Amino acid sequence: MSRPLVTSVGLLSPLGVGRRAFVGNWRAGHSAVAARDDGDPAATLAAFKARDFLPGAGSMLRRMDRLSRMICVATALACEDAGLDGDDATDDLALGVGTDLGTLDETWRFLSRLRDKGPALANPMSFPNLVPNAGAGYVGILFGMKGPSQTFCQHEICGEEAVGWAADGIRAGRFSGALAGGAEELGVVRLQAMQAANCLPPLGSAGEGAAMVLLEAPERAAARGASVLAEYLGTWTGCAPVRSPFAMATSEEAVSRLLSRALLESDVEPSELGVVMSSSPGDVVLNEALRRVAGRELPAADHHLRVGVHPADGSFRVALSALLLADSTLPVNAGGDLRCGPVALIVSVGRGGMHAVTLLRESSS
Amino acid sequence: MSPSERIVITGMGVVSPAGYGVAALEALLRSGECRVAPITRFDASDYRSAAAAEVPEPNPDSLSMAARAVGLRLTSGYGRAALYGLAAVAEALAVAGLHGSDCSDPGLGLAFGGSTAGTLEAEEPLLLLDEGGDYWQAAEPSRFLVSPVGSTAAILAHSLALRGPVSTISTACSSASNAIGTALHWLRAGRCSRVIAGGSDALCRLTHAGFNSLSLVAAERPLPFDGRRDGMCIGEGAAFFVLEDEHSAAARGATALARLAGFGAVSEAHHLVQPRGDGAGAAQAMRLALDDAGIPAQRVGYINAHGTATPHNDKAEARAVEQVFGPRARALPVSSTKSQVGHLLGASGALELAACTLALQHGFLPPTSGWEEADPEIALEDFVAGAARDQQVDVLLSNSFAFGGNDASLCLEKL
Repeated sequence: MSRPLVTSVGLLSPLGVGRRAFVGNWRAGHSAVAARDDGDPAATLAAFKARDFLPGAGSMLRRMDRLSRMICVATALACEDAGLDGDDATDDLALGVGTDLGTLDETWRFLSRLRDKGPALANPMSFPNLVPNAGAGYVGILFGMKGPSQTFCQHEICGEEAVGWAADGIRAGRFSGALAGGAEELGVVRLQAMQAANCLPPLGSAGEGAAMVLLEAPERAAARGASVLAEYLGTWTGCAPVRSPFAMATSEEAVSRLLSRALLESDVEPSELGVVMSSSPGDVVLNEALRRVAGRELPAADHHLRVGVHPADGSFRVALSALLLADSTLPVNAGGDLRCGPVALIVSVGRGGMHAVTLLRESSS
Repeated sequence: MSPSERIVITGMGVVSPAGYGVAALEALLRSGECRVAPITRFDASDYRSAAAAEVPEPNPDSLSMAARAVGLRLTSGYGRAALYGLAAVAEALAVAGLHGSDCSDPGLGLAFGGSTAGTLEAEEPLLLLDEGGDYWQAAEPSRFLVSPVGSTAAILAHSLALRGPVSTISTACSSASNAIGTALHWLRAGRCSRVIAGGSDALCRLTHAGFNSLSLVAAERPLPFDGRRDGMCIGEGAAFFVLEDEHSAAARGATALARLAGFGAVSEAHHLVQPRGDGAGAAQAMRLALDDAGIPAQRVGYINAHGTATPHNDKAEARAVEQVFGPRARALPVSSTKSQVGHLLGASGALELAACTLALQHGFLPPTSGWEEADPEIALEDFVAGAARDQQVDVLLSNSFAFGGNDASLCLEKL
């Protein structure tokens, strides 16, 4: 049984494209959250040219929707960060992608055209992009990835689920390497509906972005001389009964139960926890549950104030955790706090009572 | 929870164009009838094809009685995909001898596969979106909230008061097969002691219009593997299974219906909507499912094909079967349940696994309805044409292939 290692990150973030740019801005305490003419402040991606990152994509880029481009670019950045540049370097990799809303704005545009122009002029080029796994499909084609490919859509835990699935596959020996992460775009439909439905987290701004990490079995990483960012201990998910299947409600019982199980099964002492990254940093119930299990206040990331939040951002928090564990001088937040232990804790709470807990450990190598 | 190797199906529930319940599906499979008909759910008169296989309206009393019998809250306000899912889960729990109160065990998980969720219900509010700036203040946000695909599993989890893992996998037409495969992995790894796994999808304008725009929809009915085939027809419905370790099932006196022996999945890395012409990806998924099961290809007695009835897909799948089974392929029974109930998209893998489970349980092969003319480019010969055939098999494969080149195959073994 292999313990999966995080050996690279690919970040397409409002705070920078690529590891170097992101880390520079994060270290400097910058925030990408800005006022918007059409609503509350949000963190959006600066315009990016997918062609610059995907030179082999050719005409495929014309057919590709924006979310798929984001996933493909983050994948390219993760491959570059890992030094995977051979023709067959990614052939046997598995792929896990998390996205809650997929191409919701594209769906809206397809339906609007259907209404306005009739079925005969429905756009056959855009329909294939409307399935949630379109981005994963494009990645498979562009990077020649022939391993299992799964797309996870369970609301705000989908990003962590995707990475956790990849880690489980490596641990079980189903594959020796996987690219995994998640992406969400900040579209008109999402922003307005979430605001109207009161589904945005209580603190923080809406955001968008894509984050992918490369997970490898230790033997595979060693064989190619990969540098290790962190050890991925696992992801544990569970549900809690809530008043509505659409309600965003934290269950102290669920967080405590999952976290206790995660610590037990991964052989981590609460005293080893050194940083927490939660989907709702301002959530009093969540913070109390974490304090109780950890036995103290942990340094907390302030990503919600600097890159915004989105349903698939559990994958971003996995990537950021790996970077924090690889570099003990990288601050956890704009206040300059540093992690105080070798294990990073990620907690996500999603609509319908979905909860996820993920642990990563500083690499010993 | 300790890791398990032998995983069995102890419960099964179905909502299909045949009606509500497993018995209705079995009767339809045996008859060989096709349930594709003109669409009534929305005005489809302007489409190239107006044919689909709809689920008949349920008897509300019998439905709520079935739900109450297992302590399930059956709520109709969440849309058809959720309603179908709830009805199928209620039946699966009843067959497994479980009650809703058993679902609060944190060791019980839900692995869901789907693609449309509440799209039918969300289409109208989405279409009104650009008609005014105050739209979201006037609209009911809950009508939008059923549209993300994860909402169906959230509704099921809420109705069952689940506490264990809940996952939605959406890989287009292989969604449910991947969800069932994921459930198998959860059980083997000891992550869960019992999993409700399956899928649910409802007919909507979006998918019907989309497949019409790609010219993939049959004018009248789907004719898989037939030389006259001209496309698929969309269906709708749900199928769910209760999966658990063979020993723990036996210990609580549950009857195992079949063994879920193996799962294989690959990415073709070829094209977003077209399969590889040589069937290599599909063949690899089948080989991996057999390897995972530890069962040699010679033992396979039947394949429930993906069999969409589109010209390209059926040809590629037939070539894949040839690659895996060699000279045996010609006489190996291969049929497509989509010929009777249409293509349930994200739920198709679950519905077709239900057909396979019935086949193993009762000793018959589901048919390819309407098959009459051979396609000279397809070398297979036994499509179980017309109606079901009485025949015992010990091992079978159920294939699901999807947009994005996402291929999955499940292996079932008779107990």
